[in-house]
Amino acid sequence: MTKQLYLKPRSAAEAAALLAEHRRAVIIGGGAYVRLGSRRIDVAVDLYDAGLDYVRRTPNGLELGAMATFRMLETAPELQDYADGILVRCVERIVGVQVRNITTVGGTLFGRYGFSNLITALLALDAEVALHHAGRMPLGDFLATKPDSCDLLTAVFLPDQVWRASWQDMTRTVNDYAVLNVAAARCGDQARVVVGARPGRGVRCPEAEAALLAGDADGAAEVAASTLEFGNDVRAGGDYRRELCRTLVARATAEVLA
Amino acid sequence: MTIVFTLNDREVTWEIEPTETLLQALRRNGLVGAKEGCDTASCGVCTVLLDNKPVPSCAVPAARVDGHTVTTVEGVQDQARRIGEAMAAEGADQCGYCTPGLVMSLVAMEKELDQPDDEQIRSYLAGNMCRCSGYTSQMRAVRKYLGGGR
Ligand SMILES: Cc1cc2nc3c(=O)[nH]c(=O)nc-3n(C[C@H](O)[C@H](O)[C@H](O)COP(=O)(O)OP(=O)(O)OC[C@H]3O[C@@H](n4cnc5c(N)ncnc54)[C@H](O)[C@@H]3O)c2cc1C
Ligand code: FES
Ligand code: FES
Repeated sequence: MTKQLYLKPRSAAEAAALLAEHRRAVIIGGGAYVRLGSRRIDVAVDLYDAGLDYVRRTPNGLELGAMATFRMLETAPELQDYADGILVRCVERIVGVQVRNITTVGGTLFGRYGFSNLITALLALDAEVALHHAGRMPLGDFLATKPDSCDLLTAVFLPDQVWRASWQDMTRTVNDYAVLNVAAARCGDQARVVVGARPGRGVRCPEAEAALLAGDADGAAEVAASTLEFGNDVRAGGDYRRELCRTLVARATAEVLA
Repeated sequence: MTIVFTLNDREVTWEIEPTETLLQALRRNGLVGAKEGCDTASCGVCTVLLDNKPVPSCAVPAARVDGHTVTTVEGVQDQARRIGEAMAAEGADQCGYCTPGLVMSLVAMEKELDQPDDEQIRSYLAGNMCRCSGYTSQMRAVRKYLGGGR
């Protein structure tokens, strides 16, 4: 990785201006994955001083700044009880404290990683993202668009809802990437079942959500396993993932219904 | 490029490459306490404190610390000595390569957690790999060190 110019904007607006000026600039969030990549970087725009590292309550729910680290999610008082602490659960065993102190919400969502625990959990909570240029949109819509490397993710919004929620994942060893991850949530007549690390990215399963609403955990598990797509990678085969999906969705939905 | 930051309680001005990691810059400037292991943010031997939080210095761009505070094992000599003694007493110090990183995580843990139980200690130190000890003797040493400090 070769960076010729290293810029540290003091605000999101300043960062956006730098991105407009330097068309090939690369944003550094936590930097953990930028660092692992091999692409040559002429201009780096590091958001560390841009004032985006916060978790806060708003009149309409909660807001996570793009530079909120996983460790901040894990320790924020606002998140300990929100949706039964699912945002704490989904990050608290990722590598170690050191990595969780650098990896960010913005870098994770912008990277659209298939294995991502956070993406799976946020999809289950109807999170919205704010982009500097493209504006505010549901996370699911954002993930479906092609990444625009000139835009800047500034924040994530969580609705003021009292979700009952459950987090389930399976790793081969403690602190490894998930072989499969599942988030389930329910609030009134709304239900969400999301399955990620298939190894494809987290997706909702509407059929399983209908079963959850009907109070049928086993049915949700069955239909998630039979309708979602699963594939092979170094961690597991697709058939194994399908079995795992059955088990984890059953546990998640049963917990939400309990 | 020039960066100005607080290193172990002293303000320093360094010339760095925009491409360098904090670990590279530290070692090039003679602070060789932080070690390089995996170089992929996975093993914890390069742990230093950035603004009082433990981070893998192999994954932090050196340019990021401009205007911030960095603490390395060279800056916590007293704690490092006491932790080292506890490790030696419990037979946990074998090749010793992981010790500086572990010291930094322990220093951070002491500030962050009040009277942690074994589960909390294990979780806090999960990012510090040790290829020699098997962790059991390390846990004894950590408990001994924390107990002695109180
Ligand atoms: C050793 C290691 C183990 C890991 N294990 C797991 C695991 O088990 N489970 C898991 O879910 N995750 C895991 N992760 C991934 C981690 O959770 C993050 O998703 C990943 O590091 C990216 O986050 P970052 O903040 O480091 O992003 P960066 O590396 O800074 O950026 C990633 C991409 O997003 C862009 N970007 C960053 N911020 C913004 C922004 N605000 N707006 C627009 N674009 C932006 C960058 O230009 C880059 O293209 C692991 C990471 C590491 C290093
Ligand atoms: S060398 Fe930095 S975490 Fe292994
Ligand atoms: S003592 Fe050798 S790696 Fe820990």
